[in-house]
Amino acid sequence: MDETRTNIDLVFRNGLKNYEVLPPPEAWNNIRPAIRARQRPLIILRAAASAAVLLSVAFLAYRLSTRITMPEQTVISGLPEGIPPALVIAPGEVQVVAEKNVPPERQIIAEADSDVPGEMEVIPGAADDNLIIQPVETSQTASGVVFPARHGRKDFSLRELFRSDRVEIAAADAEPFYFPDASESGKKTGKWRISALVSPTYYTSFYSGNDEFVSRLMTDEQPGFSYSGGLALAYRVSKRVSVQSGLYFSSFGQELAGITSFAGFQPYDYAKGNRNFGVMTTRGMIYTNNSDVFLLDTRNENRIVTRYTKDYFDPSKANLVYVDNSLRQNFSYLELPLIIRYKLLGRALDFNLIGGLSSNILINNSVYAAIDGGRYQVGRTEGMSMLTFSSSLGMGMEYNFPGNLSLNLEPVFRYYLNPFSQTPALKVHPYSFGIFSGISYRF
Amino acid sequence: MPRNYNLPEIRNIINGCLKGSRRDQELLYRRYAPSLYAVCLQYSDNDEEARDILQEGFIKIFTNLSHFKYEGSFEGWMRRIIVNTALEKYRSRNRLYMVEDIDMIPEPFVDPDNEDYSGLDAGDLMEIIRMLPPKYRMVFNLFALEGYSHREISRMINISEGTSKSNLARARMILQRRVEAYTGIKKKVLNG
Repeated sequence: MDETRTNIDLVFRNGLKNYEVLPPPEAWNNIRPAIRARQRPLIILRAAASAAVLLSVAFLAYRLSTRITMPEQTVISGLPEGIPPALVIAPGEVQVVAEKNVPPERQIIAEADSDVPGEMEVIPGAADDNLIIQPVETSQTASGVVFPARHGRKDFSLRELFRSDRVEIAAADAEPFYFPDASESGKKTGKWRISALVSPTYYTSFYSGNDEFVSRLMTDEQPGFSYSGGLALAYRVSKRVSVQSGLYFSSFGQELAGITSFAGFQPYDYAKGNRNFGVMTTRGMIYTNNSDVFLLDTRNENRIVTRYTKDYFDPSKANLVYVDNSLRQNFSYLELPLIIRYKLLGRALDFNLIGGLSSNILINNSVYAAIDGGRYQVGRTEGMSMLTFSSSLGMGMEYNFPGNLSLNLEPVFRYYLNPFSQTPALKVHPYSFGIFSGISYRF
Repeated sequence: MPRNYNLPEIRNIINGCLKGSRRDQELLYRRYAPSLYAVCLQYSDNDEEARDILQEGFIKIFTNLSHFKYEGSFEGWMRRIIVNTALEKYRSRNRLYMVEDIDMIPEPFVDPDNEDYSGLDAGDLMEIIRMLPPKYRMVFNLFALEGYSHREISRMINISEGTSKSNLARARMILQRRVEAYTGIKKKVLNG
């Protein structure tokens, strides 16, 4: 009896295994608007999340810069309102500071460098013996103030002077010397800076999943020649912090080893359309759009999907022309970066910490084989994300020439936040390293 | 008959759906809706309810496509979503079905000598299964067709394991009689 009842299970299981019934036509009409409505908030959420990240980065950078520049600002803001400057020194002028809180034997002789245009203020501080020295216009440079001092320090920067609690004041007849502010010296510049940068780039990627096939695909993919470059426009929001954006073009690619291509397949192609071959890669699926190409996986790794399998077509018996033993995928992106630059050291050679996010728009996607120095078009990679986001971190070195020009060298590490492929299983995250070099003009 | 796609083609269609391509969404629906609608019919009392399950199930499929990890069959993944949607519907209704006594179930014709069920097609089997009381049908579907254990079924539809076993036994008994009856009717019709 039990056997009969189990048998009834099999009758239904087998009988209904491949059963299909066409659903009523209105079902799809009800599904379609619902899925469109649900996709929209997802896009809005992603945009909101990106904006939140950018704002957070900008806010953190602002807070950091505020905290670091605090000593200077504290002194300046510590002045009681309405206290006039003790004196204003014109370029090339020498004056003795006569302040009531300063004993006569400890007076300052102040002299502005005649080479530097702009006046300097020497202001009595809130506490006794405190002196505040600042340019008349804070945006102006603070170079060229001369002080006699008994310590004989010649590398005493204006910034250090501000940081110190007390200004050591020398006798009036002491030998005067300069206190150049190296960070500001020779830089009579505006807040804007335009740069032209270019970099050879090394792209690679790592795989966060555990699919053996994807790992095997990665081992057969070698990074190709890549470069990046463009124009950047930066705005200095404070002495140390700049915000930079611009437009970059980047091109990178990879080589698929073991995918051999042959030309001359068209006479044997009985199918309509050109998509005769598909090649699985970690970037997505390559589909051929050239009906003349025949592809063969010489490593026998089942990367190629085609109707022209060995059972149907024997390439050795056909009149095909060998082209190349690897395929090359090439992608070009337009990058719109938002970068925060933080000046760590300001000397003749500036050091900046660079970090930010970029949105990258895919503008070119091609697959080819190399033949006699030229390209034999094969197809394109499908399933690529049109928009990817990357984060970058780097160190910028900037050598300032006299005038407004500077030379830049910026090693930058970049990590792509979302994979290039939209296929969820292909969680391959690319990252790159490049050394950008170029020139900047400040205005 | 919808076209069968190979794995790369399915990957492409899924990618397209993830990008919001209407064409790929429709391709995916057209390819899989007929087999999934059959599952919906199997779990529902009537065509209207089956259509609702299909609609809700497909909306879940499209909105959760990014969670499909290619670790198993895509069709199996979709089928589980449809079955879960049907179970949700079943649980939410919380109906108290009056289970008909086996002796009271009308049986059009019974031919006790008939042992050959090969004359029944899938449509007949579907019709027979849908005539089961929902409690029995759920347990039979989950156990015999989906392969769940009684313990899993008891959690899925909030019944005890004992009830699950007893419902299955009664479902099998009813189905056995109905299959025999249908087979008998068919043979009579075919033989004139």
